[in-house]
Amino acid sequence: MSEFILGGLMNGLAVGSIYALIALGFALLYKSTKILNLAHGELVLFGGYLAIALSNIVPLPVAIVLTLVAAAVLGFAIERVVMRPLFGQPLLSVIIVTLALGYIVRGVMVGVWGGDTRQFPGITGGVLSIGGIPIQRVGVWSAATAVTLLVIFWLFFRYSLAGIAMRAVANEQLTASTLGVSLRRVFAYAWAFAAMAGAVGGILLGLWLGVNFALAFVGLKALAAVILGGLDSIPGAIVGGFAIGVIETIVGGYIDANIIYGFKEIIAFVIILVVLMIRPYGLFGTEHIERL
Amino acid sequence: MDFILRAQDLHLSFHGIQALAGVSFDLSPHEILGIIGPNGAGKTSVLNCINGFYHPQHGRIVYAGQEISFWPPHRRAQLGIARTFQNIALYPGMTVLDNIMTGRVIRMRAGVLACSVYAGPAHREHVTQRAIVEDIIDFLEIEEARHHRVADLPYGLQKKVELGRALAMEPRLLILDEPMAGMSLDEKMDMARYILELKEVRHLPMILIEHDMGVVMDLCDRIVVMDYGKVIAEGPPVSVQRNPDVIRAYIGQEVGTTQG
Amino acid sequence: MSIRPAGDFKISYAQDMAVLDSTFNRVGFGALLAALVLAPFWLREFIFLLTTIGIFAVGACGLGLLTGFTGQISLGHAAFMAIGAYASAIITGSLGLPFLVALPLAGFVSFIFGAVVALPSVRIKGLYLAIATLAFQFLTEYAIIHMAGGVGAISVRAPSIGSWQLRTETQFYYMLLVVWVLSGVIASNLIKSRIGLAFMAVRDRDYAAQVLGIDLLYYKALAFGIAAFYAGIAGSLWAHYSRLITPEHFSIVTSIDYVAMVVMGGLTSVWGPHLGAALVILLSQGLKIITPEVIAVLPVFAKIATPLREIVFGSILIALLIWEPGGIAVLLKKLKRKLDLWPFAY
Repeated sequence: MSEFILGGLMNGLAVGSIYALIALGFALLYKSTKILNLAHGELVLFGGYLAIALSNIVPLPVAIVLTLVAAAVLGFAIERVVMRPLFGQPLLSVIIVTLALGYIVRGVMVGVWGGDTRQFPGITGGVLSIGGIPIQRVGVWSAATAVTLLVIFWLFFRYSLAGIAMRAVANEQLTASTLGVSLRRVFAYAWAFAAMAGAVGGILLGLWLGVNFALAFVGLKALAAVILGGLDSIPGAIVGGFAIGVIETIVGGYIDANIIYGFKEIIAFVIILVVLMIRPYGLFGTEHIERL
Repeated sequence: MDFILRAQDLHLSFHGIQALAGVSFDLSPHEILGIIGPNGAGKTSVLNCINGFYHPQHGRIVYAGQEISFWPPHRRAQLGIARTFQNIALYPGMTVLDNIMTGRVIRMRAGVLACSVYAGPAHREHVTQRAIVEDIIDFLEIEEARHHRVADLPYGLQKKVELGRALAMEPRLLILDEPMAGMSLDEKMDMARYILELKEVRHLPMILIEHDMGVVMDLCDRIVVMDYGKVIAEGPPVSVQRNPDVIRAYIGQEVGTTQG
Repeated sequence: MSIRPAGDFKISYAQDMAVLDSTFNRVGFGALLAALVLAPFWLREFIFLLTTIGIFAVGACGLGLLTGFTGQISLGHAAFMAIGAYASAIITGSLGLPFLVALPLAGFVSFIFGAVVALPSVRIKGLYLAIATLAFQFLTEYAIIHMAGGVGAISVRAPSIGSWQLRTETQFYYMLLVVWVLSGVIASNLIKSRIGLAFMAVRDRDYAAQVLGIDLLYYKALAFGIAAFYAGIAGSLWAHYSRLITPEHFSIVTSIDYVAMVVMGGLTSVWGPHLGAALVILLSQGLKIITPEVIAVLPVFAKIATPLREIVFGSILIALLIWEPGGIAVLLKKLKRKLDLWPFAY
């Protein structure tokens, strides 16, 4: 039993680090644009598919760099072509447009590359043993990369000018814009960043588990992570990502194996509902007080 | 009982910031009570406690002989407490008529089934209610705007519509939060006329927050002056005007000189 | 200001408040009804299209009341449709009750689920509510699969009214048409009534609604309940129409379709859900019919045939929302205004 928990913890943290990275992109986009991007999972899918396709042509590191560039371009394009004309439209229109975007991206991905699970070429399996707990070598590398990126991103938002501008906009759009922060530029960066974070997540998960269209569901796990952490909180998204990874692996895995089958797939939604019932603004989010 | 509303020792704080620190006053059944004070004095917080948006951490609200401190806003409204808002809380996408009609919703009785059939009782009721709403439109002289979307109307007219919506509830206590802010002189005079008529003809007790001192001094029977969440003076306009504490709260500016 | 044909004056409040308030609207509505009644004759084997549109229009009508008029976003509408469908299948199957009892009963079962789901909606708003309903959608799908076993499929009896069995497509269509028109009329009545006013008050500014004595919890629960009722009726109709139901019919994709219907049709129009349902169904069925033809001519497209629906559907949705956020209903209104004034521009 303790081995099950320890193993679950290791694997959960590993997969959670990738969720955290994906959730970070999601939360950052929400924080700076107030858009709930329900196409985030498709951005993950985009990264996974494109990187695999490219890695058949060029070496893996080059493929990854190219994928990130493509993701950034996609992010900019989404902001410019779709989101900017919709600025100021009601919440529902924007939500539904992100869903439609998801349809398009997924449709194109599946259309071009098909629905089968694909593996990165030249990735060998192999199992490491850390403290007696077996864990896949690729998983360890993916997790390590995700953690490194999390630190880099965090430093970026803390100390770079672009990061400060984004946080200013997140705090108060109008005030920031009167202080000379370009809302358009911040929105464009936010989209590009969200797409890149999603793509990296897709690549890391893809390296580990392979890529098929179900990868888009990871977007919903990122959603659970940000709800748990608090929609407008960056640290919340990171903690939430790790938490979802661990809960899913241990609790979900246990119930799945012993009580009802398939529970692991939906435990994220159970978490969403429970959090919304008890503490809608999440662990680290700010409680909104209505001023009348 | 010589008061319709009593606020007793209201304390309210948000995350450690004290908004109200022991506010008490009574409102007698036929008077207009003015609440004045510098920005941030806690005037609107008092109103929010009276109509139930905020629940004071300490203190009581007694209305018509009942303690209502813990009642939700909609039940207080059903008891006849109506209010308007500082920055207009109308329904911008709906017409003037529908806006005022929403004030009648609690007076309508048609059930879900009657409403789904609409022909018959629900429709007859709606037509009767419409006549009442038209009386209010008449009273406020806004017939022209009846079928206009509220968002398309000038500010002063919107203020009138909001008053109309509150009146549609047939209130027994009317709370007006800066009803004349941002109005032209003509519009202010109109609004003052309505308020006086409501007092003289309908004997409607009112609580009024207003920054225009001339209006406050002319309309109100009694004035409560607030500063830093406390009542610093209370009494008829003339005595409040001369109160040194009040003059100090307005930082050297004599209250009387701001009349216009 | 609404522009009406000159000469159509109103001389009583009752006239001003009538549902069909001008000659144009009355004649138009009559013509539409006639076309629908005669549809089996002019649509022939394509009547199934209209049947499908009708069923989804009933469901969309409910979502229109909830989202368009009460302002509550639901990404779980298909879950209520599923509840209605499975309830109806059980009521007519295991319980052996007639279809005419099962139809409203399925609606009521959904109503109760809807009202209960609404209870937290007072605390959580907007985005959070959308996410909660999304979670509810997935959990319902999961629950049904586990309770029904296997892939969750059950077969359903053909509907009958008394001893009369509805076996043909046309018979089913006429039964549906009655339900469809009724649900449209009831939705429009509700909007005109006290309840509609309260809904719109909740939608546009909830704290102002409270000040008017409107109980948010009651009206939100009522709106969710009514929306679920409509979805339940649609689910029951769908179950008895397709005769075999699986949770796949009521997945998140269907929920998104529903939202697309009310948004594309026009959120604040009673006609919106019907127009939207027609557009979405015609689009997806049309693509199903057209795609093989396209592939025959241009074999290059064979590979993306399956996801073509998603791509086209998504693109049209985005294009329409950028072009006219008010949806088809607003487009039609603008068109009518242009025609009224034609050939002059003013």
